[in-house]
Amino acid sequence: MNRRTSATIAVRTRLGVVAVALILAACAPTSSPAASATGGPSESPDGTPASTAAGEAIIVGALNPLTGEGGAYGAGMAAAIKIAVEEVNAAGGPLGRTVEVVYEDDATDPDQAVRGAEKLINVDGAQAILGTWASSSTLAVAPLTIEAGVIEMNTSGNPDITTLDDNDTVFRTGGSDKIQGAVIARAMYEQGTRRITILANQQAGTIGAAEAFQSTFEEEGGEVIELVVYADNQPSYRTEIQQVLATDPELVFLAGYQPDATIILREAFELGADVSWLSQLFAVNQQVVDTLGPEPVEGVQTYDLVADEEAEAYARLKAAYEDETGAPLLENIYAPLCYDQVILYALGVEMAGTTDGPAVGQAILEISRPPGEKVFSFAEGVELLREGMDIDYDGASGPIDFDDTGDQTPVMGIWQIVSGEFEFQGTSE
Amino acid sequence: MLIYITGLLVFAGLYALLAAGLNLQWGHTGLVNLGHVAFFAIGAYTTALLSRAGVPLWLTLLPAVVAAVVAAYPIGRLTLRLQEDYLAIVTFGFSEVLRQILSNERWTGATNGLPGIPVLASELGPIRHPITAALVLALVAVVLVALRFLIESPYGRVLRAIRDDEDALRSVGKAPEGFRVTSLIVGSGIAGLAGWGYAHYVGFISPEQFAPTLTFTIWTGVILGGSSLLGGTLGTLVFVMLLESTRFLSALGLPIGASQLAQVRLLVVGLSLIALMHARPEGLMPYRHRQRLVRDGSTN
Amino acid sequence: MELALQAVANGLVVGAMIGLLALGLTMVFGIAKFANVAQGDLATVSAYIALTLQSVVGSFVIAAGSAIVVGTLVVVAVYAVAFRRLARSSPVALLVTSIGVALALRAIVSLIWGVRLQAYDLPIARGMVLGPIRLTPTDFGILMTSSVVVAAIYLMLYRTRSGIEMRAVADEPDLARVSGINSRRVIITMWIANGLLVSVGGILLGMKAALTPLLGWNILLPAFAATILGGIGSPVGAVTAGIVVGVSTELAALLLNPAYKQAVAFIVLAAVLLWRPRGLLAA
Repeated sequence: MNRRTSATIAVRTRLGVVAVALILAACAPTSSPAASATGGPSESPDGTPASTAAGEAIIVGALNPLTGEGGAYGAGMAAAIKIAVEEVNAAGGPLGRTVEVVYEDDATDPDQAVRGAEKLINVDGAQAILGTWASSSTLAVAPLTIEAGVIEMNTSGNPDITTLDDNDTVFRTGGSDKIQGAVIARAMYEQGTRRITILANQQAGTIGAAEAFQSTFEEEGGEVIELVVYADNQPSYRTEIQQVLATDPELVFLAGYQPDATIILREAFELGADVSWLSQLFAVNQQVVDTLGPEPVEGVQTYDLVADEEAEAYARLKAAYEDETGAPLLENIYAPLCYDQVILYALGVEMAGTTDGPAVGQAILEISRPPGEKVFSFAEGVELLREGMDIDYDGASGPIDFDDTGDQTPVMGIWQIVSGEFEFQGTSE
Repeated sequence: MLIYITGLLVFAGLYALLAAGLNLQWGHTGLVNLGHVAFFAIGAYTTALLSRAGVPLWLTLLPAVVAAVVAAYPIGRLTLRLQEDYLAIVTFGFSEVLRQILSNERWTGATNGLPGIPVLASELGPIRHPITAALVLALVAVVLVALRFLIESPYGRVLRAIRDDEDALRSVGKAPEGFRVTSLIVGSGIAGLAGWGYAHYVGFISPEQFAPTLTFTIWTGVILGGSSLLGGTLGTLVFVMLLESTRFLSALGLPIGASQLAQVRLLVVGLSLIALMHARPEGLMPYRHRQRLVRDGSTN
Repeated sequence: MELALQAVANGLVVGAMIGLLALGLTMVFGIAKFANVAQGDLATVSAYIALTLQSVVGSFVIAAGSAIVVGTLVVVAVYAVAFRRLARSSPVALLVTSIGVALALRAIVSLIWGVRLQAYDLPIARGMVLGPIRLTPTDFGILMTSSVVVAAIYLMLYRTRSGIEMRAVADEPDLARVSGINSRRVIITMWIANGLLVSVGGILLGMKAALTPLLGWNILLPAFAATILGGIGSPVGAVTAGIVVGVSTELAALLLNPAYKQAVAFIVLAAVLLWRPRGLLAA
């Protein structure tokens, strides 16, 4: 039987060519000089990428959600990382070495995050992966970074990140959903609010915050009349809003994201609602105010992880960020978090004297918290470290004092929107 | 680089398993199953729950496959009454409902997912990547050989007859119903097997990893590759490589930001799909069984 | 009870938009014989075109009207570039091509307009009270515009020669070929009609929700569900089913856990299909 006709051979040849072309493309050299100088990332016998010799650039991987659900935040996060790295390099870099960033998109998809991280670690030789946003991306990537002994820093909220067995290599500069929800619930109670209904997006981050809010608020003695959960990506939420309004609360805590928050606030206004709102700043930001106009958002309270807009690091980042992206910094809360990740990492490397993950991790724990001389930038910190002093970095997003699990309890800033402007009210402390 | 490539091969291999199962259902039986990812999820969640409770990895393989098969049975019965596009939307609905349940129930981890799943060969460090790739590719080979056997058998001829002309089949006294059910079940069992492999490679699962996008990816791979078994495997490999190779566009040094580059990647993938379909509308390796037999004169 | 009535009203508005897209989908199914996965993203493109036009001309009505024209042209162009050559290929090849088109359009929209949330410059007003329910001017706009567009399409399908030819090609392709109907012209007419439906649908969606590159994609699945529920190839079925899907999801959100909204739509669909396997009003 003649199984292989010339046609079949032609097809298979073409396929072979295509496959080879693709694989060749996959092996294309990256633009990182460090990789080509050493002939690619070398691997020590146990498989971890070896720290390259002094003088070589340090590669940092930025794995941000440039597309997908987190797309609104990813670009700003990458920009903040870029700005921070430029500052670090302007001051000479940790251990006198330049920091180089390789950017990858995780498309807010855990599978792509895994592949992106595998490329960053094994092809680009990244010594740290920074800026993972979605919890599922962070949790999918963590086993890889822990295995490779590189630092991972994220802005995710899943409480399970706290309990990762990570040799002190995983840090989050935001706060876990549980902590965030609890912090703001206490603040609301202290404000005098007693009867709240929660309207939460079914996504993990928002539900996590909502549930933590509920349990803390009830512990304090307040009442959560109802917790209404809604589906993501809908064009309209009238029905859900009406359910909430029917409970007649003093305040509605809206745990959602920008697209749904925009629709909800607009529709609530159209429905004639007359109730106070609380939401996160990343959901109800300047853009939403510009879109809806001052009326539907009048009196809305927002909170987020920026304790102090006047803080040195924040102010410095703000100027550079607005220059780089043309967008206000307040709009993207994750940007300062990523900025701080870079600075902490760089200072950690300086103090540890190596890029070895667990060692840098230990150093980061120390520099993030007291005791130590307060510093607000890489340049300041590096100078004091070289004099042998202990430092305590307070960053753009707040004091960032890591506990032993790599978590921190954020200090939240609270704003209220008055006549279309965000007025700072105070912090959660 | 080795670890990156073997990591890609693991994904490609898992997707190839999914494609093989789908190929049996669609390419050979004409069933349009848009809920394939549900059985992938069932396999993954079953093994995740069991292994997190302490059951050793190798013992969870069979339960994962069995769970998927058992869940597929009622859907299989549904195929008896519904044709093509209707089956498509019902199976799709099933996978969405399942995902909602997984997202809302505590014991499945809800939207937070299940971390800390024991990973294959984790004690060996980064070498686990090539090892897992080898294992997955071995599974793919075994499944393909088994399916090939099935398809070339009399059973396989009945399946193709169902796909092509059910009435003719009935007129020779064979009832297609039972075969459609078994085709769906076997394909789903293979998906469950892939789910087992996935859970023990990534070590973390959550409902968003089992979204319709994955079903579309596998379908794209299967259609790209054509209806033959090997075609389905090749198509998914090509598609994954296409997606991943666009990561290296950054090496071209284009003067655009990281965010725009991500969009350009998507654009390249979309345009490639269009171009590939225009070039080879039958897929890269369509099933040529009938042609071959006609040529050498033997009967089907 | 009031809440239920309001839910029905909300559902009608959302359902109208789903119906527009579903009507287009059923026409593409019937005449071009494939599932057009790019339907949602084609709608997104028109929505963004309207955004840019509004910033140029100021008046939303003029911007929307022009965007409908431009959007329709874009849809026809997409047909010419991507789908025309595959007219004789299998439906699955066209399906995958449409997936490619969807991804490409989404990427182009993101590159041109960015991924940040945007919105039309429309006045936001408290809704008008009509007995137990409230409707906003936007809602009225959506209901009226969809009705007009649907009526126009029906008129075309059932009263004009092109429409009769289209239905012939969809329902009895062999007969149509034999009686000398110019299938090429029919197909182009169908894509123009689909272009109209998709552009209007996209702009209405943009008015109701907020503009992101995923605007149309998010509503694609309910639209497909409606197409199938109504019976593939049945224009009346598609629109009716669109409304059914819209209303039932809103009622489900009210009576059950709103988080299960989409899931309920599919359960309803499955239940109906078990009872009527070819859809409610199959052609």
